[in-house]
Amino acid sequence: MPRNLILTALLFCCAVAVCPAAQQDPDKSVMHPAANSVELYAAFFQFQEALSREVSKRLETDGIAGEGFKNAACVLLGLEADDFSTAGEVAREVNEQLRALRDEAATLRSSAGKPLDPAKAISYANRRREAVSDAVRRLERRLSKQGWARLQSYLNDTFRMTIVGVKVR
Amino acid sequence: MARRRSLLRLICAIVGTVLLAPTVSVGQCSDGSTALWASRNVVRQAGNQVWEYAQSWVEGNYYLYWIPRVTGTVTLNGQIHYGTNTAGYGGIATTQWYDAPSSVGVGLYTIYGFHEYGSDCGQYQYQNTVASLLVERPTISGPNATWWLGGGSDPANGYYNGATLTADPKGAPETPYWSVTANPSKVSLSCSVCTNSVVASAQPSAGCQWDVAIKISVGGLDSNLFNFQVNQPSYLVSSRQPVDTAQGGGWYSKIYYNTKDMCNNYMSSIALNESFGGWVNDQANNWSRPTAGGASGFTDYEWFDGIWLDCATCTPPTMNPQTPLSASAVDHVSQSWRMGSAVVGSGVLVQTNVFQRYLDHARHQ
Repeated sequence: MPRNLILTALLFCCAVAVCPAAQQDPDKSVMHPAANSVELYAAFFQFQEALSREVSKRLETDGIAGEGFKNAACVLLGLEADDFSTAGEVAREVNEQLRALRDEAATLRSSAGKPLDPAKAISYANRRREAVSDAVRRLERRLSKQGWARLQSYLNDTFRMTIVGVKVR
Repeated sequence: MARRRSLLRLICAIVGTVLLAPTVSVGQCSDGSTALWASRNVVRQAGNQVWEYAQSWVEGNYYLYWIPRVTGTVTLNGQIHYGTNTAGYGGIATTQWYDAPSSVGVGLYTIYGFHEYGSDCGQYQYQNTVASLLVERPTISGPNATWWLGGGSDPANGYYNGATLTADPKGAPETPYWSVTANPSKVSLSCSVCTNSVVASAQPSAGCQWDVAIKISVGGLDSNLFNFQVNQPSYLVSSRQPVDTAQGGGWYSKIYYNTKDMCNNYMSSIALNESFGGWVNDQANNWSRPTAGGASGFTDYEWFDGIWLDCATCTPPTMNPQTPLSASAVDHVSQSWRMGSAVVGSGVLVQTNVFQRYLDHARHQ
């Protein structure tokens, strides 16, 4: 008990010491993902999977309203229904890959009882980037030309602005 | 509210530092590729569904050394959602909610994201984000009345039996769905899933009232009711005393009228027609009888029924208007006035009177 208290107190002191330096003010240092970047597409695949899942749920519970909901989602992204479904499939595939990567890394970490060594961690990061890049290429190949152009326009002009970030060195 | 949120975030930051604290330290958890990302958005997924989400995640070579966490608060005239999610190493922390404005309400939906990141190296960082979206009910605009003219229209005079209404979905992605919620038998809509719908009259309103209600819906979020009236020419009023003048050996009587609608408004030029029933002689006569006719309009708001007869050889012979006017009735007939069409018998019946002829003049009684 006293040991926990000491640890907590130490952490608290650390927090107080670290927080002011770590505070971020997005209004002053707003960074959006670069257009057509891996970061942007990784976020989009998350978004698209959630959107597609919601559409499927609606279609299952109420076909007519679900269709309306799906149409609305298509309008949101500027995609035709077929392209919307394709984007959902690609998003699900890549997200599964990314989840599997994370699970694999988590298992390794858990069995080792310590963080992955840097080389291993970087190799996972590279695999992650490759998975996303592959998915982007797959998406471009599978979408109609018009759909791909519209999606890029939505992602680069609208969706990108919903994401902010800060660099850490 | 903002103070409470700030306080809450400070507490979160302190507790977060504890909870996101590393279990084992490593030497390096970031490089030039490391970025702490936060997304927040309020998306009008459908007319009646708003999706609010906030996410935290880390990208870069060392993303697996970071634990992200997000705390989301959604407000709509006060807080409606609050939640926190912590992801595993390299994961994506997400809080999200789906709301139906038809039940939660319309207004400014705002999500406040509080994004935290803790690394194996003991780093703790956070950032705040906010996103808003104004969700409004769809609206209908356009004239809130049209005319019932017995089934037809009088475009030459600007009287139409239909009005074009325009829907504004107010940002909803669906095409609006139109319906008539009160007195649907009085109007018909040209389309039910469209932006512009023509409301055609089928029956008049029950008086000067907006007794037809129309609404649009976008995915289940309804507009306010758009109240609508089917007006019609309603009755005639005498606009001035009749004028009787001599016409050869006979007479020419002008009987003046204004036309009023159901709301007692004067109506400008409109097509009209008369029709007659069976003539009745008040005394033996051989007077010629007028043929029912119509007119395509008139000037301004006043019109007259011009009646004349000049027949000194008839039985009885016609006379110039006397002073006082003769009370000797010759014949009469039931006369009906209809508005909205120059075709005899078409249009809306506004008056039935007795058309009475005397030796030296005529009157509507």
